Amino acid sequence: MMLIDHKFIGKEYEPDEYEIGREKMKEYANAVGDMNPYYHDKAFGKESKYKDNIAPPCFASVYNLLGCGKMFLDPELKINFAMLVHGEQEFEFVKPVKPGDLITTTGRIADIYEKGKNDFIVFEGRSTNQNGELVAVGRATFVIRGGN
Amino acid sequence: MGEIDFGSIDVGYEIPKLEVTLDQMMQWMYAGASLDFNPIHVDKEFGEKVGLGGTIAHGLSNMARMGKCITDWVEDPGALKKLKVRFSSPARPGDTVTFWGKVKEKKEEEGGKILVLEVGAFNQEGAQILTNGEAVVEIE
Repeated sequence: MMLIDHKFIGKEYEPDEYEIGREKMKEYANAVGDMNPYYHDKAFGKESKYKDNIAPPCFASVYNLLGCGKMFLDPELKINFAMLVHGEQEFEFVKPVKPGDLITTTGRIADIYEKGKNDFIVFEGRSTNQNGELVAVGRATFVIRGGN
Repeated sequence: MGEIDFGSIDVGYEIPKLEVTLDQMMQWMYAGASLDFNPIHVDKEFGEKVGLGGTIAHGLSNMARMGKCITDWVEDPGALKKLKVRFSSPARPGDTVTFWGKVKEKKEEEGGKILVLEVGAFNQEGAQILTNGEAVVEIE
C-alpha cells in the first residue's frame, strides 16, 4: 500500500474554460427528467428575474469537474485509477449560470488523507464567469479503495 | 406556481419526495449530457466483467435528481445555494429510487431566510443510495 504524498495538498491545475450552451443545459436537465421552465421555457426565462433561462444547479457537474482528469492522470500523484470511486460531492451554488456564460474553473487538491484501508483525495474547483464573479465551488472526494 | 411560506415551515418539515425508476436509457442519456462515458455506466457486459453485475447509474445523475427534488419544491432553482451528498451505494437500472428532504435548521441572516435540509435517497430494498446529504435553500 502506497499513500499519496501529503505534500501535494494545495497543488493547482491549469484552468479549464467552458461556455454554457442553451441546448446543452437543456439536454442535461432532460437526462434527469427535469422539465423545470426556468431551464426549458425561453419566454418564461425572459420574464423571470434572471432575464433568461438558467442552468440546473447540478449542471456544475459538467463544468466544475473538468480539471479532475488532470489530477487522475497526474504523473506525480500516481493515483491507482482502477480502484478510484467518487465518494462524495459538494457544490456551493453562488450565482446561477446562463446560456453564453464563459466559465473558467481552477482546480486544486484541497486535501489528502487516509481512513481505514482507504485513501482519500479531495478536488476543489472554483468556477468564475466572464465578469470574474464566482458562480460555483465544488468539492469532490475520491476514494482509492484499499489505498493507493 | 406557489411560493414557499417561510413562516409556516418548521424544523422537521418534509418536502415532497421524488420517486424515479431508473433504466439503462437514462444512463445513456446522462452519459451523453455529461460526457461521462465510463463503461461501468453504459456497457452491461463490461459491468458484469468487472464484478458489478451490470451497469450502475452515474452518482452525479442521482445528485442531480436530488437537486430536482429540492427545486421542484422551491420552484426557483436559484434558491438552492448548496448541495452535498455521499454516494453510499450504487443505483442500477430497474431500481426505484426515492429522494427525500427534511428541514433540520431554520435561520434568518442578513435579510436572507435560510432553510438547511437533511437530504438523501434510498432504493426499493432500503439500500441507501445517497447519505450524509445536506442542502441549503434561501427563500426570498
